[in-house]
Amino acid sequence: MKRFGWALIALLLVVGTACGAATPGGGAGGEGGTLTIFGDDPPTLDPALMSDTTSAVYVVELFSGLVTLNRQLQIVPDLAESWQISADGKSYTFKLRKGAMFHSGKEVTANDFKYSFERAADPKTNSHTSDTYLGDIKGVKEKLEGKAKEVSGVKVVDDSTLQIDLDAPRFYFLAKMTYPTSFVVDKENVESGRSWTDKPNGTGPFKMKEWKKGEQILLERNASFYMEPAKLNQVKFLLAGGSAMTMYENNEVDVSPVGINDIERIQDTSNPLNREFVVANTLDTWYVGFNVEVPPFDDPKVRQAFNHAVDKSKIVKVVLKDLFQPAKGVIPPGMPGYNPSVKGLDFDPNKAKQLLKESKYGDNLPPITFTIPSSSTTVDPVTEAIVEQWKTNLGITVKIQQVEWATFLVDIKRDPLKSKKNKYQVYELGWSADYPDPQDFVDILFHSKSLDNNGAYSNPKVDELLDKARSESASEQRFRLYQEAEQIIVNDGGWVPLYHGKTYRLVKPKIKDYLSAPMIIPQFKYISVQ
Amino acid sequence: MARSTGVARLAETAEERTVGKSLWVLGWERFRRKKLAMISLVIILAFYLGGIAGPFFAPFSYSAQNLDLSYQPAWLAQPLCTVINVLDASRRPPQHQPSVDHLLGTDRLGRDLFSRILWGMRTSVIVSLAAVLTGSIFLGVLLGALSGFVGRWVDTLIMRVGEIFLAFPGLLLVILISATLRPRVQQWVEGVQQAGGFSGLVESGFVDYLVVFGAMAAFSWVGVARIIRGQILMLRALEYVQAARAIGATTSRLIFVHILPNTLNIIIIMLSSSLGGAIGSELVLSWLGVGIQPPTPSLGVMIWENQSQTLLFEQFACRVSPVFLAPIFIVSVVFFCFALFGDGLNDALNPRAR
Amino acid sequence: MLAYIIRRLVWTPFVLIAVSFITFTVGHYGPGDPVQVLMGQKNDPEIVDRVRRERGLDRPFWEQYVGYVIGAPKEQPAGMSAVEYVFHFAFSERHPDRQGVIRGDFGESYKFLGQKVSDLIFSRVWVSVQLGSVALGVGVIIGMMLGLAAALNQGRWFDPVIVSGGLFLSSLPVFIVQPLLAFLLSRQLHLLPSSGWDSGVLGLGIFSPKIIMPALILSLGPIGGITRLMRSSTLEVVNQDYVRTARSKGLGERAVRINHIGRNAVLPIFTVVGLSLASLVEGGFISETLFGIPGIGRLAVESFFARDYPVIMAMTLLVAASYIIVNLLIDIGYTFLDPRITLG
Repeated sequence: MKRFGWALIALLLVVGTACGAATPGGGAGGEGGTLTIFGDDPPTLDPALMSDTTSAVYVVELFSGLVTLNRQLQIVPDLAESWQISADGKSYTFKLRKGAMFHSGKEVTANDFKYSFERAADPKTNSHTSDTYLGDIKGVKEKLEGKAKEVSGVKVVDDSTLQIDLDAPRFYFLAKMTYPTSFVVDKENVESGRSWTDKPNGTGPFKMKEWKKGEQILLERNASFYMEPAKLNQVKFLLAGGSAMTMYENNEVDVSPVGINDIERIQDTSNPLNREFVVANTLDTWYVGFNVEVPPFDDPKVRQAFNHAVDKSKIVKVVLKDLFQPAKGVIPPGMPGYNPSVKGLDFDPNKAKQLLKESKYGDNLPPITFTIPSSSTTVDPVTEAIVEQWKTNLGITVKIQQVEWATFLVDIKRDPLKSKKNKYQVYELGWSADYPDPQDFVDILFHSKSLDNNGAYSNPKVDELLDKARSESASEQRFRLYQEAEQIIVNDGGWVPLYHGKTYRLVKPKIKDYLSAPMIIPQFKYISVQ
Repeated sequence: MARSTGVARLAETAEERTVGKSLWVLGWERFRRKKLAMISLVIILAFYLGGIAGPFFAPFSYSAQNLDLSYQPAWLAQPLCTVINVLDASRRPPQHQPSVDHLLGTDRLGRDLFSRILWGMRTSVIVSLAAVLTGSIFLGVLLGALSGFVGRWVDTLIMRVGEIFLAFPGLLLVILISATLRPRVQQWVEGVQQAGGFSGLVESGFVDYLVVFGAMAAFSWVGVARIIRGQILMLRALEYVQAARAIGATTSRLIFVHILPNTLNIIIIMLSSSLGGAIGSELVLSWLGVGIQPPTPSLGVMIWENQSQTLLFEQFACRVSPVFLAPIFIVSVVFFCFALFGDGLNDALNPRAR
Repeated sequence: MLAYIIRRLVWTPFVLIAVSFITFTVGHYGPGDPVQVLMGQKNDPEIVDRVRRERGLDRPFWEQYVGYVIGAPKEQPAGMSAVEYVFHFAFSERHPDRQGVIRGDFGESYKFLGQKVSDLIFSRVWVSVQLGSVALGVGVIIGMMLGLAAALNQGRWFDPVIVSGGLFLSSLPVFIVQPLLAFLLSRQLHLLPSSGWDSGVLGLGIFSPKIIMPALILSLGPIGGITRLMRSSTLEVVNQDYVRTARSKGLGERAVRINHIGRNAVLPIFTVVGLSLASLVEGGFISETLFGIPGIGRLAVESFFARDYPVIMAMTLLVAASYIIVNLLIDIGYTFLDPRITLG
């Protein structure tokens, strides 16, 4: 259910410290074979430009960087064999793996990294991710502004040693290095012309064999990969679309997403397909957001009333066929720091009416418009169901307004410095994880100073907890602080948390070690076909 | 949106024939003998009447939900269903038993399908009539007549602009326009509402109708305008018109007594195809999310909301209500009837094909 | 005749300019900012400004339009008089990424970063043309046979049955026929691939089994119209004097049919075929998406969902251009095939 353009922004950033964890064994299964799956034409295969999930699927297989994520979402060595962090936390020295080569057979040296970083930070490259992912490196900002020729913080010590200096100690720096912006590219390849990504010369476990636009992409195993090479011979992505379930049942693809209309049939244990069924969390939360700067949602009682008036579990059961999980809080399950015992504002129409009466508006609410972004077919039935429940349980008629995604993005943004306010009263939106840390949800979305706090939610107590969490280094303590803040936000009715997403897939039994990861990581190397 | 050149060409052939009022009477007599076309005409009229009057008889509101009664199967379809039951591989029983309350069952949110279809038909009727009336009839006749009577640079201008409009891929541009203009029109209407101190215009879905049929109308006048112009040019040269002029007949009399009756047959043929075309365009616009916006139901939205292979077979097997089949059936029947009707008309009114 | 064609040819560029202006205006004033969409929920205004500058989106509307058509100059004009400005715009070196529509450069796609719109479109057109021609070919053959059969049996019971049968086939919505056939032939019988496209080695998809089902279903569309056309034009010819003469002079029925009826009845079919090819884009919206065909219709739909305006604009322009040219060709073709028609 990637309905909105916001799915374009799944970033891969892991804040964690589990360095050096062993790559999980691929299990039994022979070598060779082809995995045939659905795909989409990637908007770009240039690691420096890429910022969407579609492209990421290919880019993380074709290219690689200093460090990467394993299937447990831990940071593990990749092209860098090992690294040292200076005592002040501002300098990282990476030892590169010997004998690591580009697909063309050329060896990867520290100079290639220097070139790749400087290219990504070159304003001519037009990368809009380099600021976020490389911006901590000394000199990147100057290079981006066109004031410097080189990035002073990236130093080549020798062919296999790279030193990176930061402007300040950043405990998440390594996590940022797993994002493709910092992947290594081959200078010769890049300078071969504007369509160099049609024949990318990367370092990843797979090589581009064929790309027929709109038709198929064929990735081929990189036999000389610097770590254990992939077991699969080829991965074939069918780009042309069509009916997924039919193609799966006609053996045209090996993996198929299961849509809402098929879910009942697949969950039926008497159906043979039921055994080929794989479920995974997607680390996101869908919610109804309130703009607390405009009436009537400046009164927490009104927000709470709107919360209590929505029967989430029924909506999820009937409208979404239990495809997703009703949400109580902000942090999605599967995320570190997820609190299964968070107390939500449960469905209670009487309490809802009571709260509304107690609010400063009483029965005299101003007209309310519920804004949803549109960029694809028809209004989400969930929205229609919510509006109907507000009507029956609170007696309030809320108007639905669909707005173009592009307009929505601009109008919902707040900028306290320019006194720009969120134009909408109440809106439906989702937030997906950039990195597995509760900070990504609670701090970014609810700190009163955060730019992504679209609803202008502000609670000094929450701010205090979040500030405390920022300076806390022990994960346990941090998570507890976030959970505490989350509970306050929920009680305040900061959102109506709706549901957390899940993906449902059918996987042919001959495919071994297929794992539906909640984020995009290089994972085809683990899979094999029997 | 069907290109009108084919019909325009037909008009060129029409120009060559001899004219007479009796042709019109003759045509109707000939048409009446065509049973299939007559049946189609009746069905089309029923569709339009149903769209206009139906909502008054709708048993439920189009938006009243009942989440406890999602996808209740259609009561009317019960006898038909069991036959096709083989298609449903699992043969699971439906979650709810059908009841007389909901003749066609309910949709996913438990809304009465029958009522929604009546309302959806109204949308199709409004959009297609409004687009065709404003576009083909009003703009087409007006600009065609202007072009034919005034001549000179007005004629050149109108016909050249028409050529440009004709060259556009109509649907593609209608899509673009509905996507880009809607926010602006919405803002504008809201402004008018605020200034005028009234409300309800935006809420009634007026903006959607305006944008959708407005965009369609802008591209459908060319065909009719060309025909009218051609007729005027031809008739002006005819002796009896010159005679009528000589004895002082006014221009409007010329148009209504001499010219329109002789063009009516072609215009009717053309209208029957553009009405069907407008209903089809609504489907595509809804699919792309730029048509009529929910909660106002439209057949297009209902079709696309429920377009799924698995769901289709569950409908055949009567596990769920015909959420997709019912609207698509109506649309297909109407399309088919328009085709048969147009065929019959063509045979009856176009004297060269008998 | 020649004068007419020349007049049309001279007029054509003006139509194209008008078309390009309208298209550009609609695309330009579309909702929201493409750069903003590209960057999603977490955008940084500074980066947005930089990307806008880089793409020339900060220039005035007229400059952008002229740049779109004839290409933008490499150096952005600054501190010039009006005359210098015009000269600079018209004659200086072109920006490598914005060469202008007249050089076949429709700009860069918003969605596919760094990719030329023209590169995106042309391979897709080829796919659509292949599928469209095969489907149309099948449809025309079936339709012509049905129409001929109906006309030669005029007045008998199966005349209306054939005609309405043809119309019925055409009215069947593709989104009913497709799932039913896919269910039967793919899911149950595993006879045919349900969707997709296989362009093989030479870029020809017509030899792959994947084309069978879509071509079959898409051929239903034109059958009704062609049947109707073929029937009426055959009737028209049958009743003409020269056919009666041919008959009365004892010519075999077969010869009469082929030489006299066939040739003349084929004329209007040209129109239909020509116009069908020009409307590949609109025709492919739904069907290419359902069948998973990487054609121009599917690209249009995808671009629309991504609000990839440069692609949609280019498509609108190309369709308009091809429509104008096809129409011209049809008119010329008519005069050659049927000397009775004079144009002008």
